[in-house]
Amino acid sequence: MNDMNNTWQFSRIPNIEESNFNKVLERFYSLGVAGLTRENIQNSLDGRLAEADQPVAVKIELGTVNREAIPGLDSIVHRINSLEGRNGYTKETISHMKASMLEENVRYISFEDSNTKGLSGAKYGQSNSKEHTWGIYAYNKGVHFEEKDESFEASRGGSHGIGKIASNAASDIHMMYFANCDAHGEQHLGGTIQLIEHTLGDSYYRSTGYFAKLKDEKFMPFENRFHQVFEKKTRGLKIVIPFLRENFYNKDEVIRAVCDSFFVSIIEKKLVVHVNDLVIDHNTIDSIVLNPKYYIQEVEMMKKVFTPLYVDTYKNMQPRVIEVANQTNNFKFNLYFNYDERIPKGRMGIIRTIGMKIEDFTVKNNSTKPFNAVLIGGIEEDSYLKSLENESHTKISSDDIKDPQLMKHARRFINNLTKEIVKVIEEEIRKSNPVDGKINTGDLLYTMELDFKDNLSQTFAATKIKNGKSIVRNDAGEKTDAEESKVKRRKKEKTAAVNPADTGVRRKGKARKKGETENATENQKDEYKISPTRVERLLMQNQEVIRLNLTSDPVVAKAESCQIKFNIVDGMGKEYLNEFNMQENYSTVIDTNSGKECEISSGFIKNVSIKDGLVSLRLALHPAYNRSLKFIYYVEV
Amino acid sequence: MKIRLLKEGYKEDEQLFLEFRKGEVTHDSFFSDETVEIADAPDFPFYIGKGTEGKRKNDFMAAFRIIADYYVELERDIHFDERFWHSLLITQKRDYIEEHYPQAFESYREFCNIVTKTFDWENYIYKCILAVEYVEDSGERALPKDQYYELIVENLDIFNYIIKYSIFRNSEFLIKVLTVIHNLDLGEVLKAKITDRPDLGKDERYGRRVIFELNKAYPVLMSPLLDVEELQKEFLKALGNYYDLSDVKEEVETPSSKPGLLKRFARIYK
Repeated sequence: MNDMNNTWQFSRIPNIEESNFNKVLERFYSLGVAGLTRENIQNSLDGRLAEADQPVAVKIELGTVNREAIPGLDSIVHRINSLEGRNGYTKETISHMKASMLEENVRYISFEDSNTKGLSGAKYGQSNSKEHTWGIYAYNKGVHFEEKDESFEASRGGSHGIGKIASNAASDIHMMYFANCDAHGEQHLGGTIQLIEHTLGDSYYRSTGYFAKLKDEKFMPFENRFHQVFEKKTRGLKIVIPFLRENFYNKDEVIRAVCDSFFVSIIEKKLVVHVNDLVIDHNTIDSIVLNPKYYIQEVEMMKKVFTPLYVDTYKNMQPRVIEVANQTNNFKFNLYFNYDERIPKGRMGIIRTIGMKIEDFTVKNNSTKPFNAVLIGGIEEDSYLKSLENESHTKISSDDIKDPQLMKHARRFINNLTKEIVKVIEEEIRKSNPVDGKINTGDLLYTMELDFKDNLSQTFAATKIKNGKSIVRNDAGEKTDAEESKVKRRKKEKTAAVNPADTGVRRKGKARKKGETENATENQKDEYKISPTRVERLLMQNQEVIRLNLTSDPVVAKAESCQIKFNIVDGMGKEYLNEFNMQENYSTVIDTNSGKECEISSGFIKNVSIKDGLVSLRLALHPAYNRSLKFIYYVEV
Repeated sequence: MKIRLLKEGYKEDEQLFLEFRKGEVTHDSFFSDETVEIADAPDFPFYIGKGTEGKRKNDFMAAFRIIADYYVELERDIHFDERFWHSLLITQKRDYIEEHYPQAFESYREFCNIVTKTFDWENYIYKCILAVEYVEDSGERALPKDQYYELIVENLDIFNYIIKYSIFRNSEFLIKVLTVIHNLDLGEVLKAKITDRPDLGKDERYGRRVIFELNKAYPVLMSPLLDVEELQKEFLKALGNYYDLSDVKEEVETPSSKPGLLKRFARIYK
């Protein structure tokens, strides 16, 4: 019953298959008025006149209008009254629609753009021609008209072709109008409404309705002679959404949404937005983002919204070029980077060339680094980013890509992007936190060298000890064969004859020495644990005499000097490291071999001489010395 | 009353928990052939980790009393056998657990933590058994038994450290240490955290350090064999390493009707 008198057209269908509302409605509803604003401004930027050097202007109006002014409302009221919900969710939505559609004063929001193309071919209605963008915009879902100019097409914001429905989602009764004025000054009004598949009279109808008249089975738009809210007299498009949801009716939120997403377009003079009587352009954007009414101003508190930082970064920083590759292409981006210790969360705004921010990109493992950055690419980069965006243009990810090969590329791209940014972050952190001096990495090198030696000595046979150092020799193909084998044998005999358990001097391995200025690798020492049977200790009134007998171990006995370490042993025989502080317990240490005084550090007695394999010390005790303590002694040579 | 002992390996058996949650565990597959004969097995609090200080104190005192009256007389290889205690809890104490520790039914983890907890110094039954044994077995007591029980509850941290070190795990030493703490009224100081020595670690307390000092000096200083007065000296000497007594020494000269805590240390230390 596509009635000629009806202003809203619904196509007949043979039966009802789908009992739910279009799922996209709910998704856009959840993005709020910010999502709506973003979609509509993006559409306007996409429709900019390529030849014009004027910025695209978008006038956003929030207000109320009497229900009488809304075209074709009676026919819709009739339609909605016939709807029947078949599940809890649709029932609730329908009863909400029925209640809302009766309001006398109707809230609305409109987006009117200029310096844009507007739609073409409206007078041909549903023409199915690629040239006639009206037909596509008004009567098709899921497609957007492609630009003939490829670079222009690449820079366009939309890509999923579902942005139109964002406007429906913002209306209590899922209704939106669009007024068009084309290059020839012809003015038309169209509209869509999203209901559910329904029955009226004896027929079944599709869920989507179009504000149009029917002519030869084709939809034709009305010429625009409606209330001034629906008027569009200059070239461009005007979206009008009546029955605007109450929680969408928020001017400040709209202003924030404009600045959040389009600050680059605005600063670059590609876009001017009016929200009622407030103008947002390159002159006023600063005062808006610096206004505490719209944005938190304390840098320390900017944890969710970063627009004031982005604006500052973009305006005041010099861009640097970074290159990011996926597997096939190399992309170049301009990076504006700002390092500021006060910033609690480091984010990078990724911007499309049309000037729209896609995402507050979190650099993996660097989300709390103190920086703020803005990233913008060229045309090629843009079309690639576009393929990575999700539907609502708020995140780039590899998840939405179906082709596994492309998905791999995308993942690689995002990883590389992260890597590049991390480099910049680290460089800036280093610049801002210069190191005080050089770090002695001797220990590190030593450990590596030690590992290397261990591995080598396992691979090759001969290990020879010389002055406490291990030397690994390669006996393969060398002329020293004879000597080498001798060394080997001697070594074997020795180890067979001298059981460490008998000597009471057991090699523990290399002792590590930290933070000294000397070359640490050369000063590394071997540590030997001295068995209690090799220790003589005499405790007197205020001094202690210690004699260590090292003769049993040839390597240690041959050494000329060593340092000595004490570890406490508790009542159960358990050894404790760093529990005994030498400096607090001994006032002086005399080496009775040499008669000299030895240096005491907290953990060691240093420069102790070894004479005939004996160490002999006389230590003066501090009064607090605990005479009951027992030790295990270590010698390092 | 016969207590059937659980079959070895029950501690790793989550099935036991599931069965226990359902109702009384009776199925033979969970049990061994062994049994323990016990005259009477009254209920007592055996999980005392939670609650206010007052409640915990009451719980401990109740547990001490019942263990002293009914359980400590069992042979040592029974009352130090965790399988006996776990079997007892599972076969006889289900109602008690349901009433007092319902969280044991909530998850296997809680069950393991409350019911089949390993029998070492962290287990409350183990703590109580040792406490009761040491107090009941002590020969010479300067104070009444009940007062020792109270001292244990008031100085749990020290008690834990004493039973942690095998060399100190004996009746005489515990009783003497408690007597020293009582005589010098040291409880509060020993419990306090050491705040001015970051090198010792975060949660170091004066009492723990004192016990550790005595451990380090053992066996040169056989602290468990000292009499109370000697131990008192060693105790203060060890405490003196961490707790500054020097400032107070001069003040000791001025007579005071009620000398402060620190003055009292200083006097004895001198």
